[in-house]
Amino acid sequence: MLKTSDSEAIHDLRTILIRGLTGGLQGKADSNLIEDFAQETVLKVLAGINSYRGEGKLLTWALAIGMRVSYSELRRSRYKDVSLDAIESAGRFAMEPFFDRTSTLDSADSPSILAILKDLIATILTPRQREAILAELDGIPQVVIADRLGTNRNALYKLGHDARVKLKQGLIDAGKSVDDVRELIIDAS
Amino acid sequence: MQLNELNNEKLSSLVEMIRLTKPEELTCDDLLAYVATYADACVKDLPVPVGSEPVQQHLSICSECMEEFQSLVNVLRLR
Repeated sequence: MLKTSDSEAIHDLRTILIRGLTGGLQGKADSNLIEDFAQETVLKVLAGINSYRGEGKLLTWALAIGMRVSYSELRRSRYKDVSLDAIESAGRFAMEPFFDRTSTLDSADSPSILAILKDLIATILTPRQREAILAELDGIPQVVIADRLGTNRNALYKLGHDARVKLKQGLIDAGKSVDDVRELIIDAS
Repeated sequence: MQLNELNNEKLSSLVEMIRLTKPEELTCDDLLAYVATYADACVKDLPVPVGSEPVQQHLSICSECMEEFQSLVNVLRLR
């Protein structure tokens, strides 16, 4: 059972969170939503208080969690009616080499660099890694992708990280550095 | 999105993300454990705390954590 002082502390925390989230979200959510976000944040803070490392101020840590909670819900809400196709289509294309010679990024000097990158995406990534990377590049929020892939944002980040590591190594193995590709993009833009 | 819809802008974003990729990175949840110290230092214009490179690296690659971080810093500056 909570002591009176605990209840007061929680009440104070909730008040501070409401004020902070109202300022931080800058009109992205109404007062009712912000109260809900603050309430959910209080629960997460209480559940995670034992993992608080004591680094930084406790209120800053709580506000950081509040921003995570709020933005996640706002992003979910923004995409709740978006078709699943946007995510699912990314994993459906054939797992075979993909050579696109029509891009403006291809040039006489580096005729294959874009093809190599696309080929790597098509061949060395797992379907889930490909779905995650392409959906994220399409601007779909991580929390939405994670919900639809049946995972969470943290695991999705790891999935994307593993994909990026593979692509980086794949470019190196193909004799291309990331800077080669980047230079080509800058030249083409 | 299909692979053949990967236009220059999206490809450019991907390349930048690959360029910034490190073998070991903080995840979004890991970031929450460290971001308070970093945010407090940013707000007070203090030197970047020792060991903040992984925090900066994650923020440079994860646009959603960066959006949340910027809102956090804005709030702290108002207090």
